[in-house]
Amino acid sequence: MKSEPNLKPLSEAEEIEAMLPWLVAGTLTRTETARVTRYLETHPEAAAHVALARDEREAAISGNETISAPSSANLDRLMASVANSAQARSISVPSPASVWEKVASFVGSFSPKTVGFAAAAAALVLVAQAATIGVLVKRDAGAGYQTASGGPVAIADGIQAYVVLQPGVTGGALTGTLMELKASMIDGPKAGGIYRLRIASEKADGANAIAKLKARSDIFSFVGPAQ
Amino acid sequence: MTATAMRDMDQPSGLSAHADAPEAKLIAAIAGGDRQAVKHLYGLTHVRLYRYLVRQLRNEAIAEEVMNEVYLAVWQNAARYEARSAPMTWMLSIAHNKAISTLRKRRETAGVDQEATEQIADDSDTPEVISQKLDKAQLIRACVNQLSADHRSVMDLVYYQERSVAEVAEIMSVPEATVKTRMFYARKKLSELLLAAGVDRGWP
Repeated sequence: MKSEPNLKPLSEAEEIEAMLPWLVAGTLTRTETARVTRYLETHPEAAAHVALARDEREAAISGNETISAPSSANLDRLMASVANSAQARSISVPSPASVWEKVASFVGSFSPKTVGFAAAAAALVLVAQAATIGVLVKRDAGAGYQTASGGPVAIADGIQAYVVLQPGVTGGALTGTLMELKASMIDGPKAGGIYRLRIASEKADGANAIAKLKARSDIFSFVGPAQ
Repeated sequence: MTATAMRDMDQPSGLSAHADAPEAKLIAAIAGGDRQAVKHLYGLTHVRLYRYLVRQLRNEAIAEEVMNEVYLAVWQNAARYEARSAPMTWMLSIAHNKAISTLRKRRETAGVDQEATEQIADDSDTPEVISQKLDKAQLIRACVNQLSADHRSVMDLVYYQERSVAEVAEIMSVPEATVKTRMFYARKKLSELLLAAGVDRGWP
């Protein structure tokens, strides 16, 4: 591993400042979070900088969200490359259906009660997240946001939603449904098996887009707006 | 619940800690030669990978090519994935290395030192010019885009890709302390760019 050249080690204050991005992204470990939180409680000037990190996060996310999807032909090119590579690859090839059977078997091993608990947990996650956002997130007028692990996300185009997959859903069925709904997975899985996806839709038609997802109860056990 | 709550334990570090993730199961299937699993893995992960590469390479066509190289590498090396790290972290690590390699080749092909454009900053617009064009949110975004590739990378990995300190260290092949140092100086440089554009953040 290479170290950063010509840079002196960070002081404690600088290291805490450096960790604020992870704090607002919610990706510090419990130990790290406790350390940063303790410091901020006794250093109000540093606590005020949390808002700066939040602004940066918003900018990084919205910058990413403006990037459109790759061309639809790209997957075909990839699969052609894979096919070529497969011919050169001398491996024992099991049944192609194996993976989703394994996934279905794994998910299917949960009892309906467990699955129901997962969906309920997912709903609680979203409610708790909304409450957290209500406290933490400063909204700028005119911008559209949705939440992602404790922070705001700008909506560049389309509608975003949180979903949990039904146990036993096959890869083919999922892919087909996503294509049919003009949707794509953009994040996940989070705790509770939550995925975030984007649906190509006018913002004003968001409720309809969510309804279309909910109508596919054969694929999704939980659907919620990511706003 | 925030991602903090999701990481209510310190980093999983044991063997196969992420083996139950759907993406990990797909990678396991790919290791067994299941081509359809490549397609499904692509469906679940390509948007985030593509965006990471576009931000690093600043060229959508090249980003598509490199992204396909990443999936091809997954196809060819899936058996080496031991689920010690999250599948997306493993794939971002491959993408990061391929992006660096692509940028290096681009510099060699151009025959000039493009370090200034790829590692130092994109100064096609000065901060002053940018500030006249954009509102605050757009201004921060524009200044983030002016950061060096390493600084943009660490910011994207943390803010958009939601990777932990340890995961960013793995992706960038640097110690965790270096990741924090890199983030500190990225944020400091961002403040300087914003100040030049007329926005004083009061830090550092």
